[in-house]
Amino acid sequence: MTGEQKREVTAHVVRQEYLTGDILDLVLETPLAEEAKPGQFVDLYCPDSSRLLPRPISICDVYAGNVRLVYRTVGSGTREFALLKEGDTVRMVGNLGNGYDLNTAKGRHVMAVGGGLGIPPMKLLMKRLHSLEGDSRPASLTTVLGYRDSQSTFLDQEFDGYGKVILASDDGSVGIKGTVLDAIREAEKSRNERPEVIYACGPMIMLKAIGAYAEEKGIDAYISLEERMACGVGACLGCVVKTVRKDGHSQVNNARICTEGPVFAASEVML
Amino acid sequence: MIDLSVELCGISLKNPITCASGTFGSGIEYSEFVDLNRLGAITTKGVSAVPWEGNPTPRVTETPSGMMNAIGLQNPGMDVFINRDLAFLKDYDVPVIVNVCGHTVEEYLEVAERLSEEDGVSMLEINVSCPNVKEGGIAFGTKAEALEKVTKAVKAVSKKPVIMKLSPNVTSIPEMAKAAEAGGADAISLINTFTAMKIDIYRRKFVLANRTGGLSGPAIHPIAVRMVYEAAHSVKIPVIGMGGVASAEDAIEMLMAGASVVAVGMMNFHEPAVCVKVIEGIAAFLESNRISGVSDLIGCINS
Repeated sequence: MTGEQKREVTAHVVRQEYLTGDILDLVLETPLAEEAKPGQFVDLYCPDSSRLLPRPISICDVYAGNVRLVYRTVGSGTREFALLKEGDTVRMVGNLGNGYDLNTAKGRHVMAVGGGLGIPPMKLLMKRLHSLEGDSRPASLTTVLGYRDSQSTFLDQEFDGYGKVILASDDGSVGIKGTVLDAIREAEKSRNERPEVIYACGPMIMLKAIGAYAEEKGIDAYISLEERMACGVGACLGCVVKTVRKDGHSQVNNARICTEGPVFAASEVML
Repeated sequence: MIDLSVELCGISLKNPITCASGTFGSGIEYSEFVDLNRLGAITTKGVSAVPWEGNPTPRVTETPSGMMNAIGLQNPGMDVFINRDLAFLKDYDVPVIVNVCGHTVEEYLEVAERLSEEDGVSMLEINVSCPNVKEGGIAFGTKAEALEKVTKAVKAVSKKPVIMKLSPNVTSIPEMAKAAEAGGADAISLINTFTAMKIDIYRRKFVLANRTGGLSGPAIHPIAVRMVYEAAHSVKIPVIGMGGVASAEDAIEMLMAGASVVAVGMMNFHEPAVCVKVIEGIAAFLESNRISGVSDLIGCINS
């Protein structure tokens, strides 16, 4: 049995607090913390037994035996999680998915791009990239974070230690006015900064734009996808994405987001 | 000594619990959570002659105490299934029931004939009840005449026992069960999922890309028990009962309704080791009620 085996655990709630009106910061004590990789996710089960499917939530950070999840209350299941408090327990399965391959950052100018709920997984990614040593180190780290407005910012203060941070918001009330793509193009135009590899997570429209930008500039982009899931472990084939090439597991142009993903090379998937 | 074993089509199972097709892959993924040797049998996801793409996404959605799916029988085809999935299962001491799907009778026969020749295959379950593919599938499973015909044809080519998997989307379960029996089926399994629909009222769109999907989970369990009872009381061949089984109590209900074997489906997604929990619960029930074996539970209802 390797330490990376997926398993079901009962995690203990260390604390939970609101970061904005509907974004929560949940810290869970679980042995899964030790093995978690940036870009992976966990499946949380609802206490209410009428809601049977797990909720996939990306891992935001890990430290000292704790997994930190930053999520939004979007439905009845996540509203149940919002009620969890210190001392409660929650059943979960982890660690799921492939995560980002840190080797692709070696010696390169790296840009991590998070939009909205795609921001949390960028935290552990940048922390790990920043801690790499010797030949494995990236040449530079830049974080680009996109928000709706100044009222909806969260985690924006947490990337300062890892390199340059660029903020963007739809209404311009924080950072650059526009999308993360506008911010990336602005950095290139005014300061001649262009990444050699992009890691991105966010809404589909943003991931499509990142993919198109990366293709236009001939740079590598790795994007983290989401889809409605059932089992979370690769058995049900509910969460697939169309792939450019025939997938080795499925033998068709479909890959399982929960297992072959959620991180894919942008050039390999058809969004 | 508690005896959990049962016999199905001449094959001895350690206990009456298997997984429902499509909820357990070929066991590879769940082997990280469950010792597959603990199961009475492994029932695989549907296998077709060539790889199938399945439906567009979204393919799944949650419903109260259940879920809907419209995967569309995506699978890698029988060659990869034999070389990878069946090869993986050969390391386990557990009978394998392979679920067979096709668009045409010829496709069913091609897959059934080939798979039934494999040593690692104990039985075939013929999927004539998938509500999520346009051709084949349910078209054969909702008309008694067509069901009897396809059963006969599969029986003629199969070297292993044949289980016909029935749809609940019919007017009369006994009629369909009898048709499968008349066609020579060695057993029947039921129920597949109920054709259902969910609408996103804010976007005014169907939630599933396929518009409709199959409803499963504990929400449908009482209907499944009724249908298993009806089927078991209209034929002499054994019945594999399934539909929202979440606990040992649910499985025992199925046995008492007349099922010889019980499959656990959607609840694998809720609790990866649920099959083992159900098996242990059945053993505990037998012990505390001083019942010597599972066979004493099958069809035993006081009336």
